Amino acid sequence: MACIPINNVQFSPQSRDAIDDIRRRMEAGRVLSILLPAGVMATIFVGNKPLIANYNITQTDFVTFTRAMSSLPAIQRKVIRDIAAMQALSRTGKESQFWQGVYDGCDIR
Amino acid sequence: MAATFGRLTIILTLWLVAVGPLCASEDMSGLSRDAVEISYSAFDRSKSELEAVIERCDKNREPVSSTVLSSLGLSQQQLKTALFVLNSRAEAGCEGGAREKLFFTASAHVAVAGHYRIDAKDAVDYAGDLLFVRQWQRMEYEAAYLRLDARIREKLEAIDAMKVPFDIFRTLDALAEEK
Repeated sequence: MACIPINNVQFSPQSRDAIDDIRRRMEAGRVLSILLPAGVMATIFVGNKPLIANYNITQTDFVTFTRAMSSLPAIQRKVIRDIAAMQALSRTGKESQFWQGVYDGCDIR
Repeated sequence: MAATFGRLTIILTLWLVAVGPLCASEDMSGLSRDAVEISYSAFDRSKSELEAVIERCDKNREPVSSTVLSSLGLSQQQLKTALFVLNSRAEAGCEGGAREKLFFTASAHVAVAGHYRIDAKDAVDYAGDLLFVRQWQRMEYEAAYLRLDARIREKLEAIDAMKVPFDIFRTLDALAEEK
């Protein structure tokens, strides 16, 4: 999948729960925080700062995230992809697009 | 002579009482160290196995033919549900029990480490949290899938391309393009 920038994506309570799930599970190994030290995707998925009302996700953000994902151990990568797939299929519009971007990443491999 | 022998016996007894448990505990610590090492190695091996299996199952995913799927008359949400559930089942089949084995060996190591009151390290994560990702949501998908007409489910489950892990989103894109 090509990286599609998404402007003004807002997260529903269900997406926020899913983001918390990813944050909590990735916190244990701290691998994602090393692979994704900065950027919009890091502010969403790493650490425990409260999420803001909306985000603009650029193509570069998706590329950086995809690279970080491809360096994660397979089991942890699957954790994120499974959560993203369930969200992409149950949400609509930009929210669903965002989760699909997390699941599929960009075609950079 | 008898008094000297008596004293020697007492000294020997005291020495055995003092040193005996030390020898025994040294023996136990060797055994316990080995026990911990064996259970951690089993866990670590299973983790590597699952990592490799996930990588293998993720390769060469193809979309499912939209022609077959569009003829079933399912709504968009029903289709999404069916694709998610059948892909999950196909992934579980492809993993061939490697996930269950990792859960078992991680739990076993947590139990062993718990007995010796030592840190089970990363086995704790694999004894639960990392292997049961949003299990409640998976079960909701499964429940929604089981509400589909049994004949439709039979047709879906007969599609060969859905018996191996497939590309859910490219399948949906192809269906959307067809419409």
